[in-house]
Amino acid sequence: MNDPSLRYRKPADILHAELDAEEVLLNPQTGMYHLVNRTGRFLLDRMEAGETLGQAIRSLSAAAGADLHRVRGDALSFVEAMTTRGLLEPVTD
Amino acid sequence: MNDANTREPATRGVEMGRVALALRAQQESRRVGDELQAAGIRALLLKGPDLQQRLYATPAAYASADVDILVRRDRAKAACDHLERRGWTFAPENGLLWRVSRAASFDRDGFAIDLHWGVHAAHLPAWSLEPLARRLWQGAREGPSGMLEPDPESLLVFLAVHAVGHGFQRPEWTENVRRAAALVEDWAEVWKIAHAARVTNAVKAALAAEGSPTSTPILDSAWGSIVSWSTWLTRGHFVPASVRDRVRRAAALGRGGFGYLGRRRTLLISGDVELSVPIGVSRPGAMSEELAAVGGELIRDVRSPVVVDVGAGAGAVAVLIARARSDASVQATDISSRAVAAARANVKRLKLANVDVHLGDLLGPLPSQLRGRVDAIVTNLPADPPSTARPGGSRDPNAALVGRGSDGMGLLRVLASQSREFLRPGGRLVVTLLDWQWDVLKDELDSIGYVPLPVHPRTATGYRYAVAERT
Repeated sequence: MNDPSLRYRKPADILHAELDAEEVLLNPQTGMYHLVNRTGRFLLDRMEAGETLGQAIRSLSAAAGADLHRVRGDALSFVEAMTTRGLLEPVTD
Repeated sequence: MNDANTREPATRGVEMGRVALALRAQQESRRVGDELQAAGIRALLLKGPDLQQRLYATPAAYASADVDILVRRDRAKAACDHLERRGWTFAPENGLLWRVSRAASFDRDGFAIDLHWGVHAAHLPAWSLEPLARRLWQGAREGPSGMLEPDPESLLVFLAVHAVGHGFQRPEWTENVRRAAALVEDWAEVWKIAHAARVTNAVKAALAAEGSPTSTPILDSAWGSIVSWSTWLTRGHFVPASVRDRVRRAAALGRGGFGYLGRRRTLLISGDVELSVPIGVSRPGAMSEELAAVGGELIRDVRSPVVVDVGAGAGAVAVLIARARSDASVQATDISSRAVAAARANVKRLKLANVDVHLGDLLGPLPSQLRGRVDAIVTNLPADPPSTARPGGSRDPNAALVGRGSDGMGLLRVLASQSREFLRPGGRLVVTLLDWQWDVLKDELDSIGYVPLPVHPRTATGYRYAVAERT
């Protein structure tokens, strides 16, 4: 399970490029492409800017005017799926 | 702001394909850098998705599969040999004067890389730009690509020379110069480099350019004129470009059967099958082995199956299937007489009695008695969308991968239509394409009498093998 107090980032070897408001990711280890939608991208951008996962979730909830509890559930599932696929890792330093 | 959801699906698909291929090119160029470094050869990145990343903060700012890597001149032969050992093919489009340009193109599994051991521009020989090459090395530092990357000052001069050398034909080359200029910290150093390389006027012209094609001399002063004119003459630029191109290709193809540095070009596939692949015929790679494996799976439970390999090239897929299944009848077709000759020679040398090779377009040359009797049709016909093509037109090695139509799948559609006549009910068509292309094509196949099946696992090259069953 992912820890909302941590910040997550894309590992250095993950290749990525914007596509409109979305983002295409290529994991060179698996050869798999992944498409992150604009909501997922919002979370990634906030964490890239220094927010923890929990802070990014609150930012998303506020920006989308959506229920925090629901956003939290979806966001944790998203980050879980991303980490499982090697597309995100917790920042430990 | 563009809204991803309001784009036309086909346009979005093409854009997605372009981005996917840019990422793949980035992956491949980094892999080459790693491979060279592991062999003790330092590589300096000149162009490619990682340059776009540096200038535009994205590796897919514009469509280009161009990856250019510089190695030191005394390591050039080692680098060429190393690439060949790792499965890269010396491209026939290199012609005869690649040594003068100190650059050669290599292909592997549909990806092309330009290896440089000097810097050239337009028709100028690399020795005339030796000071720039030296400066690129002097200022190079480790970059995010894992390779060395030029400092901003020498990068700007290099990109300016590149843009001028190509007559500012593509607006992105001018934009590259503008963005590189924004990275410059020491303008005095820029002019010092430009002066030493005798390209001051070219740099000024590139900085002032507004994107429209124009002609500017690359080298400064009378020296530049002398070098430029003498090279223009000795390279035969007074002959029309179309004629020069034909001579160059003919010269390269004239070495038929002989490859880089005069060695006969043969290669092993599946560990022990030796194929002869003349220059001008696509070199089979991992994709051929994978496609043959997929085809083999489809006929595993069929007794005396009939299999067709369309666009067979040197016959790799047909040979592998025929060797694995002596009871199979394998039919191979190719529109290139050179490829057909190579495939027939390989089949004969390997003593395979169960392969017939036909010259012609798609399924056109197949005997009519095969209609309704074919168990599997396999192909890795070119299907890359044109937006991914590199500049250079038909001379471009990547042209062999670019398919017809705006989404690259024109040939696949024709083949799918023809295959309906030859496949038996339950027979299967296997095509090689990109993920997003399959999303488009499978609906079309469904509407003309196929059942799209789950795709096979991703290949090492970013393509997928998709299977459709004839109803």
